[in-house]
Amino acid sequence: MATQTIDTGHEDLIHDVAYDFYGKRLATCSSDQRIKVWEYNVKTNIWETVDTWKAHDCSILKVTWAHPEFGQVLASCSFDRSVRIWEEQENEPRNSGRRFVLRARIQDSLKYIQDIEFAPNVLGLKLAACAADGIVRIYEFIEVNDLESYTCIEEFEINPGNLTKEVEGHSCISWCPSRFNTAMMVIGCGKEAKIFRQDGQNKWQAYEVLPGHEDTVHDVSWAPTMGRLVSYQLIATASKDQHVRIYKITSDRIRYHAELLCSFRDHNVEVWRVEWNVTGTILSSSGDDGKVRLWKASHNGEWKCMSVLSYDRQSESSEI
Amino acid sequence: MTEPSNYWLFRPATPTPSSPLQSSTSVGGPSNTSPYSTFGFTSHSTRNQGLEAKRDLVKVKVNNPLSALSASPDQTRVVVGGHQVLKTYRVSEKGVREEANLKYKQYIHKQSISDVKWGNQYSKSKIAAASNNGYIQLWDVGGGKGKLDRTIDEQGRAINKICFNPMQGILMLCAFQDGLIQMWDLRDRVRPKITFNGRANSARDVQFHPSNSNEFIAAFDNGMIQKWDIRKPNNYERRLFAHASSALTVDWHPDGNKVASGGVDKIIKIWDINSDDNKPTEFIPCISAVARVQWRPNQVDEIASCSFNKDNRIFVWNIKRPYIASYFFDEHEDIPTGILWHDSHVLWSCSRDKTFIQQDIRTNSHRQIDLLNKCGIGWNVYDELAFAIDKPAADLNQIRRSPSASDSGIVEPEIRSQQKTGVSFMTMFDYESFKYLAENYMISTDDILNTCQHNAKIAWEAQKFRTSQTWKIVQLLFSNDTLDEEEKIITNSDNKQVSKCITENFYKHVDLPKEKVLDGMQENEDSLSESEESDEFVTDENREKENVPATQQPPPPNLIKMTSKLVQQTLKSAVRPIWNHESSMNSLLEYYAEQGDVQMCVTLVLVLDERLNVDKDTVERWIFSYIELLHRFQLWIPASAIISSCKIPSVREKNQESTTIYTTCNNCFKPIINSHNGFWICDKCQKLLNPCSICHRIVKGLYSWCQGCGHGGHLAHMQEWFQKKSECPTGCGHYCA
Repeated sequence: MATQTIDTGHEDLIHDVAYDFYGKRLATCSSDQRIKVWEYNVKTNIWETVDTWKAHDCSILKVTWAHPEFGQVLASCSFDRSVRIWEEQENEPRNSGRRFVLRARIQDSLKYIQDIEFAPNVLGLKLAACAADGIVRIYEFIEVNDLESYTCIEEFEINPGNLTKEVEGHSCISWCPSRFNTAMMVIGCGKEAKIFRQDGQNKWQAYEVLPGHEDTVHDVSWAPTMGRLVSYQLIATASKDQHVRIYKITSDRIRYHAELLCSFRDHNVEVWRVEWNVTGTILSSSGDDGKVRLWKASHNGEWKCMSVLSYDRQSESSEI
Repeated sequence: MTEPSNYWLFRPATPTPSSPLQSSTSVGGPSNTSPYSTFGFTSHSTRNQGLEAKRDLVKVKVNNPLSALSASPDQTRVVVGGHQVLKTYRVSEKGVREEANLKYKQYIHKQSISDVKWGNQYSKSKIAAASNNGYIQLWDVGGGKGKLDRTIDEQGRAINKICFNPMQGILMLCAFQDGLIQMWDLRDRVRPKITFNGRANSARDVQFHPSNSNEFIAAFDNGMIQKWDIRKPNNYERRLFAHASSALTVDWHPDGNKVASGGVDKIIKIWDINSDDNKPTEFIPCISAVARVQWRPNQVDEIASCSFNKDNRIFVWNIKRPYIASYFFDEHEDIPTGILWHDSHVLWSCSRDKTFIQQDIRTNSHRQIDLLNKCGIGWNVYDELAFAIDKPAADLNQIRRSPSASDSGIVEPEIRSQQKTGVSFMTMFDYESFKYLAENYMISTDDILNTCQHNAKIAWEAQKFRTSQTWKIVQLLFSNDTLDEEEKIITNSDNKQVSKCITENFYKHVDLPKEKVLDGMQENEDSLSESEESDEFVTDENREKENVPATQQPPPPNLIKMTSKLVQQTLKSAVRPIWNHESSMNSLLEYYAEQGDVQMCVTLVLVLDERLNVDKDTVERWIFSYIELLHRFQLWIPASAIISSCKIPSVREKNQESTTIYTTCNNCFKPIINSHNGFWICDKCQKLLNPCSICHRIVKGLYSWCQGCGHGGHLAHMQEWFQKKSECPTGCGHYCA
């Protein structure tokens, strides 16, 4: 496991990194209110910026790429309570600060937006955003050529009638990436993570609860089902209670069942992020301990820590 | 005196210890020894840093929105003003008690107070209240109950701000909406002493220097801030083009050298007022327009700010970390309009939500950094992991806790981010071999045996030795012939040595005792490709040499797991095998699916097709996943090949998407609709579309045209023409050749 460090030039904390669909570009967003898009230069073996621009008026918490069939589109959300949609202008020179233009500035929330994610591309260009007060909004961009016109097609409270205060609530969201299921999301809010689906009236409703969380759920991630048999799906959660949890979701065509497959306390501090790789076979988690841990299922289906990437050494200590 | 209806007192469940020092200082008289003892900065807090008692959160509700507040010089009382309200409160550790309700019917009724200030020294019992409709009222609150001292009528000129001289309290500055700044000597009841004209539009804020009573600074609507000396009333001493739009607020740092300004352009800027530099030394970008700023006492680099619109929060920034607020208060339900530090920890504020709030930064504030995650991870399709990770929290805690802060339990925020960012390359996924396989696998054929043979060879060339073996075994399973004939097929193939080796391998492994096989399995329970990485590359020349060590390697357990039982049975029975493909194939597919190797699954499914009994949904899912993977790798040709050779309708449809090309008439620009004329003639203008310039007929087939003038026609005709001429055949005058 080789590691190459990037001197990002961000002036404060980086809160998210995101690869594009093809894995060739990297977007970073930071508290310094800037987004940077990077490309790897194969000749010089260094990461070069495509552009850097001031994207928000406060810390940018998440950045995510839309599927390339919709163009080079980025969405970002921030502590300034807005979600913004950016599109690349190929004709603008690199590093001009103008290469990504603001297409939409969505300022519906009264609290800051904690997480955003584009829906699987088969559902069209849709973006789910969840705010600190526990309200989830789903936006649809009907005309891909006209990202300025969007509609909020859905707005629902995660815990109906129980809006959380900004500083107490924490919500996170992840779409079910499978194109074969009905549209589903796993949403973490406060100390609970639940699976949401549309009911008969096309209203988003909470269904199964992922049991066992003892403190705020910081992140949820629905594993891609690439290849895996239809019989089950995986969801990972990161929690303030220092645990990484993996849930197995099984379906009997009528209901889904969420079962805690395993939980790990290796980080021993707050865990902030969980993220699956593209094939859904390796889970990465990171927390306040300055380490990224990688988890993989062994032959007998038991999940184990495969390797650790640590702040100090930046080198692997493979344990498998 | 207390009105229960508008009296709120909130106490936390756990009583906070009160220090004897605090009580003595808060009751003590005005502190005038220190030059910093102005505008809410009290000298006593310097001595008692970290020892001040924590104050309870107190909310006092009034009947109307508040717009300004000011504290008495001894910090025991506060005056709040707003729409038809002007009240003083006595604030102590016990709570807040209303003292005087200052009403003066004639003026108060229809006016809204824009600013209130409590005087000092000479004017220590005076309160000045300015209104939007041009009155300044001076109240005397010396005797507890307020008494109107005088009213200054400014003939309807709206007043934005007032300010008392911190040294003597005799001089009072008023900033007017029309851009003038007046200075009153309170001893003169008739007319202002000096009028300063900043020659800018509205004066938004004005403030005396904290220790030099001759200097003041003013903020204007055109974004300028000006420094004046009252001894030179004709012109300003210095001006700074501070903000892109209105400058709304200024605040001198207690050291007298720095000035903070805030404006509609959402930036707090810090200026060194004594240097000639026209650039701010620091700046803090805020979420919304900045209405008020105030330096935090005893914290050299910290400043509080509140918003002009939209935001109900009061932020406390460290100018060394401009992007993440050190603290914020979220108690108000509407925009805060006035903020005031009672001491270095306790903040008083009033708001449009009709409340005055006392809050303690140690108990009532939130740290923005606590709400933010300090790490990010992202995967790409090549199994590269991008990360941004922060220094471990345990280390940070040791650094963060400065000795003074540890007493009060406050963890000082880290000034700089110490994150590391990078990309980690996993060795688990081998893109090159994936690509090689994707491009070279045979996927559609009638001859299964040869296809397996071919694919095994391809896999071997891609150094996927185990995958190669799998293909061999599949070949074996699906050969309807005896083992002998099977052997023959293999030896006939071009890479016979390899095949032989594999077959040998195969039998050897079969002969191994079962326990050994299981051991091997546990040892090698990592992913397939990982162990393959360790295998050395086998070139055509040295393959034969490699055979020997290859056979000595531990058995590839995964294959054995799936087939050993079957083969053993077969060998034991020593009769012609009745291959039960289904179960072993299913477990084989299941294994690869579990490994995330959809490439193998899809290729197997496409090659073996009906011979497999796999759930249709599963197959569809695999194929879609594989296509997505190929798309992610930008391997369009293999992806298209998969789509074309797949028999599932929903997959095949993918190649039928977006195949329509819309055309418009090149004459009238109306869209061409396929009518009885086909696409050759425009229905609207009844003309041929792009006819040949020479024969004037429809061009079906190759159309050649000049990029310069755009005329063209049949390739043959154009060739003929340009052999002789160089001009365009239409006569447009362009020399095409």
